[in-house]
Order: sequence, then structure tokens, then C-alpha cells
Amino acid sequence: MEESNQIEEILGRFHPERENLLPVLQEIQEKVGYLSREVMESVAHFFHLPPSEVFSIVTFYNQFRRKPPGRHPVHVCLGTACYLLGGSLILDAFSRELQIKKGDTTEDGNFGLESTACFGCCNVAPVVKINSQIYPKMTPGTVEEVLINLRDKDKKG
Amino acid sequence: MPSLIIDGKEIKADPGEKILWVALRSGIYIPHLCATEGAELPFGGCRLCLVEVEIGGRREMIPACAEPVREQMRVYTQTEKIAKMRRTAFELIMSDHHIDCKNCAKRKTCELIRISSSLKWSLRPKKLRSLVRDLPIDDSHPLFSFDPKKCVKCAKCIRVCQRLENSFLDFAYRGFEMVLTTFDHRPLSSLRCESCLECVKVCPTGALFPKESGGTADG
Ligand code: SF4
Ligand code: SF4
Ligand code: FES
Repeated sequence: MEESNQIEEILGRFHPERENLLPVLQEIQEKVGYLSREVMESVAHFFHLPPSEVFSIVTFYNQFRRKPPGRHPVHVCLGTACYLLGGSLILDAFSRELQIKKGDTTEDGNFGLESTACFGCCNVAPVVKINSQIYPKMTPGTVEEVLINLRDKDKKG
Repeated sequence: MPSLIIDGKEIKADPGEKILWVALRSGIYIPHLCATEGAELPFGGCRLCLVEVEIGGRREMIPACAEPVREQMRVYTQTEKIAKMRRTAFELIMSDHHIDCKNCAKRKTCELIRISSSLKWSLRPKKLRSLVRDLPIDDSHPLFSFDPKKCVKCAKCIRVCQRLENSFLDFAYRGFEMVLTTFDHRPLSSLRCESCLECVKVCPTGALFPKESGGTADG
């Protein structure tokens, strides 16, 4: 389905009442992957809210992203097991290497960075998922290696 | 008409009026940054207006901008405990403020300077480390500019623009990263702003400042 149709379809199922704002934003993000400037404007229009207020809400919550997730969306698990074994250090390492914050995408559109809840690989924690591949037992030291391999693959591919 | 006792002085007030405005009207200065008279919802962000109020024999600290007066209410604005709380709140505000009064367009009316002298406390934080973020000035509008490094996040500009049914301004992000901004960080000149300059007028600091009076164009 075309993106704008998708958004219209989602909006069509809701009443423009304030309490529906977050559910709508969540659903659009889930279906489309991110909330673009145009989407935030349509949502503001639909709810009769100033766009600045929708922007304020979208930026307040870490769960929303405003850029496409990138060719390689990096999902760092921060579920209990991964967290206890240093998941947040892994996230920091990716953030440093890619020079982006969580929820952001690199300028070239190659990498996005996200944290997620547990996806059931606790036995090999801490884990990272990139394009549905699981990278087990990550350390801050292996972060660079993972990125180099992906970049190399892109060059060849 | 209720009357209350502020620092031992009996003062008449209108029912429902907030302590802050009654005190200010009677010449008792209570520091305040974020309060707007007549606002339905007090913003309560700056915590500078804390006063002690006697409730059931005990004294409680509450923000004067949020508390309506009650008959025979006893309010204390000058206790040692309050001074300490206010100074801490003030330090917190000043710890990410770019202090540059010499070049500041608002130096004559700056509320921070007024608060600092009323608290007998320096503008520069003493206990907290100063952590001014490297944020760019928006210089795009012909009549006024916005310097985020001087914004104390009082929300007054947001409210006034909202009241005029424009709502171009709001906060984005949260915690230490919070900034006042426009939708998608658009430049001020790109909005359908009618240049009423109400936001510049209500801004208690040099964050929103008129262009002709000079200002920190270079940060
Ligand atoms: S707003 Fe301007 S005058 Fe006020 S403390 Fe800051 S630099 Fe000084
Ligand atoms: S720009 Fe001025 S009025 Fe607006 S939030 Fe910042 S300090 Fe307050
Ligand atoms: S003036 Fe009361 S909390 Fe800011």
C-alpha cells in the first residue's frame, strides 16, 4: 500500500480526540517505520493540533523516530538479560561509532540505531539484531567489527 | 474578600487569586520566572516562587504561583529554608545559561538579574558545573532572534503564542536536551508569524530579543 494511503487508512479508524494521538502515532510508526515531517503535519491537521505540539510530543518519547530506519537498522537489545550483561554499553559503542543517537539514522542512510525489548535470545546475551540477523555475545570491542563487515558487504554487493 | 497574612502583614485579596500576585501587588517581591497572571494551569516549572504556608499547624513549601489564597492563610516568603531552596533552583537554571550580560539585549529588564540580586546570589552558579549547550541562534526573522543558550524554559512564549492562536512555539525533547523550538526546527522566518512580538515581550531573559537593540548575534 502506498504510504499516504496507509496513513489515511489509519487515521480513518480513529476519532480526532486527544487521547487517540499516541495510539495513532504508534501505529503509523509501526506500519511505515517512522514519522516524517509530512506525516506529523497530517496528524496535527487531523487532530486540530498545532504542528509544534505534535512535534513536541514526538520528540518527547524515545520510541518515535523521525527518519527512515536506514538500510541496516541496528537493534540493540536492552531486555533484562542483555541489560545486565552490558547492553547499554553496546548501545553506547554503536552510538559512538556511527555518531548518531538512539532513534536516529546516519546521514548516508546506511545505519539506524534503536534499542528493543527482549527478542528471546537471552542465552547469548547481549545481542544485537541487524536486518533479522542476530549477533550474539556482543562486546563494545566487536561493534566496530560488525560495522566494518556490513560496510564491506555493501561495497561488494 | 479573603484576607491573608504574608510575612506578618495582613493583606486583602480576591477569592481564588494566587499568592504570588497578591504578594507582588502589595510590594512583597517573590522571585518568579514561569508564572503568567490569570493562567488557568500554573506551569510550575521554575520553583523559584516557593513559599512556606501554615497548614494545620505545620509549615509546607509550595509554589506561590499555583496556590490560591484562603482566608487567614499565613504565608512566609523570607525564611532561611526558602532562601536555600530558591538558590538551588536558581543555580540549576543558571547552570545551562550563557551569561553574557554586557552584550545582552535584555540586560535592562532581565528577570534573572532581578532574581539574583533579590536572592543576594551571583548569576554564575557556585556549586553546580556550568554546562551550556552548543545550540545555534535563530537569526532568520527580520524583527527578533532566538538564542537557545539563554532560554530558561519558562514556557511563557509558548503560552502567549498559543493564546493568540498561532502556537508556533513549543518544547521538544526532554530532560537536559529540552529546547524551545518550532515545528521540525523550522526557522522563525518560515512561519506565518505576524511579528506581534508578544513572545519577545513576555520572555524574562535575553532568549527572545528584538533585533534593533543589538544582541548576541555571535553568541
Ligand atoms: S538573559 Fe541576558 S542579561 Fe539576563 S542573565 Fe542572561 S545574559 Fe545576562
Ligand atoms: S524563549 Fe524566553 S519566554 Fe520562551 S521559554 Fe525560553 S526563556 Fe521562556
Ligand atoms: S513562578 Fe512559580 S514555579 Fe515558576
